Amino acid sequence: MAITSNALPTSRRSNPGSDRAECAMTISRAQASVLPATVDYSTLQDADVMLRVRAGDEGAFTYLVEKFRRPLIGFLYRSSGNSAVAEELAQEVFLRVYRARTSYEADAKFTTWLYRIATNLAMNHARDTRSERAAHAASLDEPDPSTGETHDAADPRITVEQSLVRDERMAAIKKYVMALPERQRMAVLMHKYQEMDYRQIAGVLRLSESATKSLLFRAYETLREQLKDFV
Amino acid sequence: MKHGQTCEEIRSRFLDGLSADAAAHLDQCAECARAWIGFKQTMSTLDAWTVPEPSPYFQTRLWARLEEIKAEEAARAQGIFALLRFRWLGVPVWRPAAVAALAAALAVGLNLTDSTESKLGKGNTVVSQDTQPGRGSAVGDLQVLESHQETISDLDLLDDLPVYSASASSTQDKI
Repeated sequence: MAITSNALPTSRRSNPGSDRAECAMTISRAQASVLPATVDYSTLQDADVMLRVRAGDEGAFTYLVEKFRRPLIGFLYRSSGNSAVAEELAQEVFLRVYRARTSYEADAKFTTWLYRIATNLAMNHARDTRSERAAHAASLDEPDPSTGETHDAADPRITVEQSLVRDERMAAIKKYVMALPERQRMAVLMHKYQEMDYRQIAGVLRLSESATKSLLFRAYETLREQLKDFV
Repeated sequence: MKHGQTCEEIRSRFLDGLSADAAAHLDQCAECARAWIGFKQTMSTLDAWTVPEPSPYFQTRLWARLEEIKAEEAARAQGIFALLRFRWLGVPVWRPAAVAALAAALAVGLNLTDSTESKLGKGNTVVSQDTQPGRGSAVGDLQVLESHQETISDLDLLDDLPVYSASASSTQDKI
């Protein structure tokens, strides 16, 4: 028997706040031990899957890792500029989620909580490595230190000139986004690349929605001016 | 149209797309119209920032670190209870430990009594209401044991807990 959201009584879906509290009480550790092994987690809200992790369901944690691995690494790559650092930070995020599972309260969306942990780790890393970071002008012959990849101009679909323009644009985007003030940078990354809404971003950054919107507006105005030669 | 409050309000809503009133404003404000085009171009340019593929060993490394955390949590959960339930040669080790602790408490208590007497001096006739029995006296020993009776009886409850044996496998004896 697969457990799906349709199995929940209708009243539980009418009030998300009390729904999750009831879910927490219902899915106790003892009950989790007798739940069937095959559960279709994709039919559950992420917060409910995390509540199952809290109850001891290891498969639920695996599901969350597989679902958020790629977007989380992408977010941390853009905030740190380095793929190895991004993966290290992403691992730390998941491990902190696991360690905190027994105290998890579904009072906000799971992604808000997840990205709050990720944002804090990213900002701490940025502060700790500020003096080490410098603008890197990559040459075509050297591997990109952030990815380990070499720039391949041998793609027959694009000319060398097009490749150079593309690389220059990418370097400019990285440079100017990384140069934004901390919270503006995180807000842009969450809004543009993670496609999070204002409410989620506000929850992560602990700001009001209007302050978040204002933050984003200023960030994009800055980037519009700085990237106008690269459009 | 001069750049003023209305223009800033319109531009701040670019993030939500172009509403009807914003579109009408752009028809009349060249500056805002250029700002809107610039905003769309910026968002399109930002799309060029791609990310590399994650390492194929990401989850392997994560699961390895996760196992370490689980082992730490399991060790922490066993903690003092494993120590108290541990038996050596069939004897619960907490018994001699408890006896040693009580003996130490007795020794400290009697030593304090002895030092009090030495401060007062031998033959001192001053009698306080809190006079302690002499060192090694049967009455003194019985008083100390009586004051710890509750502790001694509580320790017996540990006999009811499952036993960890030094020679047993870890899978047989569990909390």
